[in-house]
Amino acid sequence: MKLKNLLFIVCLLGLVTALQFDIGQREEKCIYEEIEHDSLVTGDFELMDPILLHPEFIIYNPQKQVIQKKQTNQPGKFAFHTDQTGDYHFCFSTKKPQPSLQSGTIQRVSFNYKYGIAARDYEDIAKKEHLGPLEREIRKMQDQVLEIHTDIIYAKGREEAMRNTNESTNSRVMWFSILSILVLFTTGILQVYYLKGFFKKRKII
Amino acid sequence: MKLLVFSLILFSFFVSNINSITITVPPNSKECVFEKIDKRTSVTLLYQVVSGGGMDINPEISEPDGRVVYRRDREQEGKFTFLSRSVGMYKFCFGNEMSHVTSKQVNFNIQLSGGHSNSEIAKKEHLTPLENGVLELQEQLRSILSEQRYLKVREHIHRNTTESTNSRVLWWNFLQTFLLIAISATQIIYVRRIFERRRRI
Repeated sequence: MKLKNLLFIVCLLGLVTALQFDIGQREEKCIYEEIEHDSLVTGDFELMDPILLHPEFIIYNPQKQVIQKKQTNQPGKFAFHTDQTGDYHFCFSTKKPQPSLQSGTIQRVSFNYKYGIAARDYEDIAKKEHLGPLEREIRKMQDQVLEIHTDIIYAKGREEAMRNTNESTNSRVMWFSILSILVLFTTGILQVYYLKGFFKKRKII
Repeated sequence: MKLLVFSLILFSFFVSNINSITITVPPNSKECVFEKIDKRTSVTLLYQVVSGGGMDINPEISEPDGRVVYRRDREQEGKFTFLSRSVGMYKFCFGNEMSHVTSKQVNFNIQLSGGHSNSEIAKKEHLTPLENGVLELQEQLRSILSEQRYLKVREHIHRNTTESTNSRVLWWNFLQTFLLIAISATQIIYVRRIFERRRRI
């Protein structure tokens, strides 16, 4: 019996604790994170008591297009699959006309999301493949390591692109400075020759 | 059976989520997030300014009773760990009071580990060496993940700076060359005008 209680307590602690923040009237507050492509993203949101405002919950993709829009009247869940790597924005918006309350009204919202391996249901996979708790955790770690590996390869690609940009900047600085010096000399010489010709023409020299 | 249940407990406990989120702090204001934390939990806040103005922010962490645990002025990035003394809503704030025009984007994550039931069930002699090994691996994997997410954000910041430098070099040089030519042409025209005027007089 005591064991079962402990199990209950700890499973609660193992859950993700949700982030909470305040939103006022006529504003849009967003949280964003860079998420890799082909990832499952799941999460939930809830309005905390006292419920004074009803913001809209909107998810934007890296191109600032709306992926999902949900009303927050009831605590809700969301899930989507990413098709590209980039910054995904999770927003609460009170921009839609609300029944006007006294200015300064704020609403506390609670929000939570997971992506990648953390979003996958390992209880389900364990049941399907008949894995014990130890095997399930090892399987989870295996998938996690694979995900880390993929992320690192992607990071390597981006580092290479940045290196190219840096080398381009480096050579640009040099060549453009040389160009500037050449232009300076050329305009200086042209000025002198032009003025000489001008004064000769006017018979000053 | 008892052993299996114990293993289940410990494994489900150490599954914790590390999300690296970015928020926007408008000028002259402070943005706060709240999180409900248990007592005797090790809480780590890791933050870095992604973009905006002088790339500095004023972080502040407060306990549920209002006492400020951590406050810094104009930091670009930082890491702070503390042990929670009570259960309740902890407040994590980022202030952009020093800027009147530019908003700042701050990336941060809050890591929680331990927790007060850890001491109740950390009876390691009930675990086989294999389970112990798996537990250690999990901890290490978590710290790899946390470092990786931190580096991801750093790389993003550096990439922005690099691309900005690259385009600045190009456009400012075009401007410089154009100005050089324009100034020397103006000088010639001006000198001509002076002498033409003298001639007429």
